[in-house]
Amino acid sequence: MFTRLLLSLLLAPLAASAAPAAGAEKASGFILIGNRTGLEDPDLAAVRAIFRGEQAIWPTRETVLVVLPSTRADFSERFAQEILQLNRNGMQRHWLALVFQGRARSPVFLDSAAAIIDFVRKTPGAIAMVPASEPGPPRDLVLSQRR
Amino acid sequence: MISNPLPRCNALAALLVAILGTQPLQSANATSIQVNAFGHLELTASRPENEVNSSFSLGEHSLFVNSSLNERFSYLGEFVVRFNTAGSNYSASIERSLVKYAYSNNHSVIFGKVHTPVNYWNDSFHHGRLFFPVIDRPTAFSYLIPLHTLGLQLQGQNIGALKWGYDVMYGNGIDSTDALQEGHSPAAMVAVHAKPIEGMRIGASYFYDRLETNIPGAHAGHGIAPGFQRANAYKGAVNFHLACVSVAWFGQEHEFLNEFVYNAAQTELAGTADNYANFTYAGWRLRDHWVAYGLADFFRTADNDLHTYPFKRMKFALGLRHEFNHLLNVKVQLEHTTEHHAHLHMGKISYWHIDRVPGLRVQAAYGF
Repeated sequence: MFTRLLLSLLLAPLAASAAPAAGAEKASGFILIGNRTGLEDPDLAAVRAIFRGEQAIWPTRETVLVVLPSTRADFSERFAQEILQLNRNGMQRHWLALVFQGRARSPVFLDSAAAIIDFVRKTPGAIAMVPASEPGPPRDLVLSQRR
Repeated sequence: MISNPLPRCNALAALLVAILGTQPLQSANATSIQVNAFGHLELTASRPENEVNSSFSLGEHSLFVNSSLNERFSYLGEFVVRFNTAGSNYSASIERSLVKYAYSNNHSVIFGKVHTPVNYWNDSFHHGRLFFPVIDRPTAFSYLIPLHTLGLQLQGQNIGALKWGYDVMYGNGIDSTDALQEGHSPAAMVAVHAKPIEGMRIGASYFYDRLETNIPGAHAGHGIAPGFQRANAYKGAVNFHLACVSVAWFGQEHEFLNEFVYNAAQTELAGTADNYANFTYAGWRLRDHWVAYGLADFFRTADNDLHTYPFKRMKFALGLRHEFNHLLNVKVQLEHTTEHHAHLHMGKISYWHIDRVPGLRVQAAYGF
């Protein structure tokens, strides 16, 4: 506890510059979907950590498979900024580096919300976010809604 | 339709398998194996005393393979082809080849040849110039950092609120090859890091090896100071201690990296040589795709060092990096290097020769 407090004080200036733009923490118009993840309505920090490749195995013992919107998906930039606090280029660079380091399993990039929903539905361990404005994914895939 | 920026390429995978002389696995299909390649091209112009040099060069190119073997096991390989400056042809090497077993969330056991995770740079960048924030590795990577280790590694990451990580490694030492360790003097390493805020990583490590005959293997990447030759170097045992501290901060607008290295090279003949290196990089994102940066790279081995031998080097550089996208960037770097080369007489340093070299370098780094 003391260590965390001390680090928080020391890193406060950097943390301030790393903080998202006002309102970004309120993300967003996305629905979190997953298949046999064992997650129950995780908060945004937990969601961000998952989509940054910081979780490898779900509580269900399924292997984590992150599904991301490709550059062809019209919501990829918004997803990158609101969920990962990166731009789209930064998101792809982050994952390329992570896989190159051998520290995470390769994500799958798909071109549309429909393709993402279909992939998650068929793939145990898969997790993704799709815009809330899209036609709804099956109820059993929805982990949380953030509007 | 899958559109992966880390493209899956069966043809390249098949070529790789053919090159390595192995049979393709039944499971090596589009969903289980992924191949990427990285490379770079350079233009260098420098002005040592009384002359001007300039040349284009083809940098090392690496083929990178990542494959999920099953739910828990994965394979990662990196195969590099580079121009052999000692001869006039290309040489190939296996830079990484490892099997990873993720036995619980964020804890793994790794067996194989890895980048020794002694510091942030060696763990994060290594052969992928695309990921380098600047054109070159820090100088310490040519002399003090044990680039690779072949052995067993325990790895943990993103543990707890501060996202702690650890790496514990036991394997073939600096004086081994990829196939042979003379005697029984394996290297050991322990490293810890934390990521207290997004984009930041702070870490420290300790590495120990005993070099029985002071002859580093090719995979360690340990050179000898300019003006000295390994054939004529000290052949006794060296106790090689290495401590590293890394502070990395790669935010959206600002980037900072400091790599500090302390090395104690102990010999019966000359006692303990205290060697130091420090690399500092700072970058500022000017616009979405432009980053201006500066670096200072300091390196010094002690006068009584019998592993690297006496050498001092200082480099300053200013540069500009343009990131076209995550697969292509170009860096332009103005630099000034000062090197102090020791000259021996009767086993003692008689004088230092100083080289001051300004230079301009341009590098295009890409991945596909």
